[in-house]
Amino acid sequence: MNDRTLRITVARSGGVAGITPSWSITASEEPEVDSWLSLVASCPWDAPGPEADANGADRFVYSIRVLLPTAASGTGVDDGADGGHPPSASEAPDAARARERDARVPETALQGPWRELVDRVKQASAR
Amino acid sequence: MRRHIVPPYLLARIARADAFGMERAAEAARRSLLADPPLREERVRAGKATAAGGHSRAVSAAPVDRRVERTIFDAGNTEKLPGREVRTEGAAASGDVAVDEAYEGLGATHALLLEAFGRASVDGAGLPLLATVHYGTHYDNAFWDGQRMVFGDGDGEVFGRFTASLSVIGHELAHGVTQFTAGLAYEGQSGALNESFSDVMGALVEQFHARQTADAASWLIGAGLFTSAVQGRALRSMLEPGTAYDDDVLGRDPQPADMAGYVDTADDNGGVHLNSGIPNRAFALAARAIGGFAWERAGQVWYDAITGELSPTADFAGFAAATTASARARFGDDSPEVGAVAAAWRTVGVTAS
Repeated sequence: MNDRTLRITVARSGGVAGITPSWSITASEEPEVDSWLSLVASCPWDAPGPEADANGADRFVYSIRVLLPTAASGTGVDDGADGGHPPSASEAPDAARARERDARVPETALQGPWRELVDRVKQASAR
Repeated sequence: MRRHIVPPYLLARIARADAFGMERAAEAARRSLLADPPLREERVRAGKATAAGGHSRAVSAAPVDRRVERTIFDAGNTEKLPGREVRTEGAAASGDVAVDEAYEGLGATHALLLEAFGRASVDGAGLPLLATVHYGTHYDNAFWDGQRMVFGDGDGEVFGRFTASLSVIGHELAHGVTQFTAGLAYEGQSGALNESFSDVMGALVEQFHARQTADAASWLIGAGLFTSAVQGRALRSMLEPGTAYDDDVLGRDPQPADMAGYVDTADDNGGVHLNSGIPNRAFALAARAIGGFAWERAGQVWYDAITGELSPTADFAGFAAATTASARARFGDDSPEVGAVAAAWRTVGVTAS
């Protein structure tokens, strides 16, 4: 994976079946990367995690992880102290420069840009 | 008017019961006696009996409607709830298989609650039963939203429609029973117990409907949901967790069968659909050891525990203690039922506490 490769993974857990499918995309061409990144940037990564409905059961939970290309600065995606994992010294140089964001979004909160991001990753992954 | 379902004399009796090895029930009864009215209001809900007082049925002042009242809605493949009303109680079959399966499944679940446990609907007070079918597009799930059951049609490749399994319909409605009784928090071990009780009731609805004994039952949850393309029998096996499916696309059924395989994960609210395999197997083993119809004894013991003074954050060890205590209360200290329940928890590696 080169410096300019963006990777987004969506993993779904929960549901009455308890089956955990996942979908992922990679993009390395500039217009495509930028298009994904603007969608990523529009998601409320820093919003406090919404409380799942205390009385609901068997709803899906989505884990969304974005591995950002290192040259992504200036795209409006900030460093975000909460979702990012500081790279460890033992990782490869490329990985050490990459940045990662992740969020766990209950199905009941999967609206707006979160929904758009998940649906787009599912569709692109199926192709 | 507030109704006290557990009579004060019974609470007082249970509160003194420490000497008889019912510490947890005693503690819960004392808490209930001492609790401030608002807290009591929250804890004492319609239909509650006590774990230790299973013989004494709750007597309520107001008449309870014991008739089933079902309404089925059609979301028309959108995610808008409740959807359009398509079948009300007593109406003829609609001809839409999902609508009619939901209607029949609600009826079968209501019948189990009423006839096996004397409970009028999920809240014990005749709550109308609501279901929405045709939710979303290619939606691979059925869920309880706190008020109603909701069923997807499935994607057609892995899953067909979710109303096709009576155990899944019973599972969803049982989340309502838990919500109105123990209120088990949907996270970690209490969440896995919440899931497991739904599987227990789902299995019992099927067995009750078919008048099937514990020996003859499949103990499968969600048989018939997979399309023929999937290598699998069902979503879960209560008797043999981890063996329900093994498929190229889905992978292998990940449920553990005992505490040695307990899964620590942040996904799925802390693995509630995985670790439920452990208490599921305890129930199936106890029911088969006791023999006969599972709802009559093992089911009654589990029902007594859930509708008793169980903590909303109970863990497996606490639930093992609660079921052992309810088996003692209902069948006597030296009964085969107590022995079977205790042995089942030992087999899955849970030590009652």
